Amino acid sequence: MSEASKGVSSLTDQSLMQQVRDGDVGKLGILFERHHGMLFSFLLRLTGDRTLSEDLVQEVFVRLLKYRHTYRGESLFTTWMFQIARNLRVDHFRKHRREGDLNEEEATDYASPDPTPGEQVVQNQEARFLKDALTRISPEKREVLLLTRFHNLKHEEIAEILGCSVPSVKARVFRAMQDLRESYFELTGERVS
Amino acid sequence: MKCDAVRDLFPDFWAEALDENTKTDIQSHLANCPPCRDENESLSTVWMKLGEFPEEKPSAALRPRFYAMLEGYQQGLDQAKPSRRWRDAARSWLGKLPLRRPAFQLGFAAVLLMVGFLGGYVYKPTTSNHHDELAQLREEVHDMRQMVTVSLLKQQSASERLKGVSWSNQVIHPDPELLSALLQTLNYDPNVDVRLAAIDALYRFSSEPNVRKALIETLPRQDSPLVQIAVIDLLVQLQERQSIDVLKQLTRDQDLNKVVRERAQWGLQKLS
Repeated sequence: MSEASKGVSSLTDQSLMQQVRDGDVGKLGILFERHHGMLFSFLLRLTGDRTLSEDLVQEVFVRLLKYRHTYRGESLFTTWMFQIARNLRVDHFRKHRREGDLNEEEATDYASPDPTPGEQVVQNQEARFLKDALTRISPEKREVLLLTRFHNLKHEEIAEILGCSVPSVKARVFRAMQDLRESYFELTGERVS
Repeated sequence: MKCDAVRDLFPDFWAEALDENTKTDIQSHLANCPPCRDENESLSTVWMKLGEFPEEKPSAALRPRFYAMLEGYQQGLDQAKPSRRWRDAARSWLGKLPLRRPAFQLGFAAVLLMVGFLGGYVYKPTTSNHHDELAQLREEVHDMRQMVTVSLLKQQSASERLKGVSWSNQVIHPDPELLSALLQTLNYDPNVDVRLAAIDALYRFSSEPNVRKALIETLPRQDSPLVQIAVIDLLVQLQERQSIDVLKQLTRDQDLNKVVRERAQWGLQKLS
């Protein structure tokens, strides 16, 4: 790794976004490389639609550019990015259809047409049940689980993204887990103890 | 610790975000409270399984699409720089005038008021004249918007062309030149985002027969799957049954992007 690239890779998301804000828009490429996979996963698990999720990822980065002047760097870059992503998703569903209708037809689209080796490993019955169970809980509950479990965000960050208090995030996580467990055990035929 | 307090802390407990003392308190409560222990065991089993999901990967098309957008934006910024210099120069020249002094502002307002009265006295239009002129003015503004749109659509910079497409939203009755410029953009613009915006703009003029025809004709010619999908969606939204033949052709084309083929198939189902 060259000295220059070492320098770039050690820059925090916040300082990169500040450079984008100040006119060095090429730096958005580094932020894209760092986060587009995570963002795509989040949106795909939320919407169940690969094409739509890619469109939304692109739109998130368009908005990051469009509103770069408003970036203050007070909170984490990923918090801002997730806020934009969820607003876009809400706008999309408001425009096109009922909120959160991740139906079975779309849920099948959720599975990659050409599974990667990593995906093949989890494409066993159990993982598929869990995937299906996730599509059965409400979008709000799915969202909070994705943020806390898949993206390992702290409850404080999630509270900022969702615009609610930290205790409320914890209560939502708990209720979401209860719903997910019900759906999962219903599919696997196990009984909740 | 009471059961409710323990259960409130479950999310932190699973996320391993508790200090050692609280963690020990919870563990000792769980050891002595079978209902809480069972609740935690079943929930944490699902929690563990959730953590085993791999990250989903987007298609290879996303990266080039992002960089094309970034490049277009960068070009737009570079081209805006000279005009920004002029704007800064004008601002600094204006800054030298005593525009901010209240006395100057009051004087200037008084002069404008007098000019207004004088103008109104000298130029007294009849009512019919007034209406004619207003209509003429509206027409001129409308023509001007069309001209601006067409001229922006011919710019080198993608961001200017995007502006052109959004200007077209202010036009109610498009003239042939504007429609042709939008269709030209849809067919030949090198930037995918500009083409996508043109599709949205053309939706407003979809009552024009040429537009529907051009949308159908452009479908097999487009090289971007995104644009093709957007056109298919629009044709379905317009319930354009004339597009059925082209959609069938797309579903049979094995060289075509798989997602586009599937979307075409979906479109056929919706239209038939």
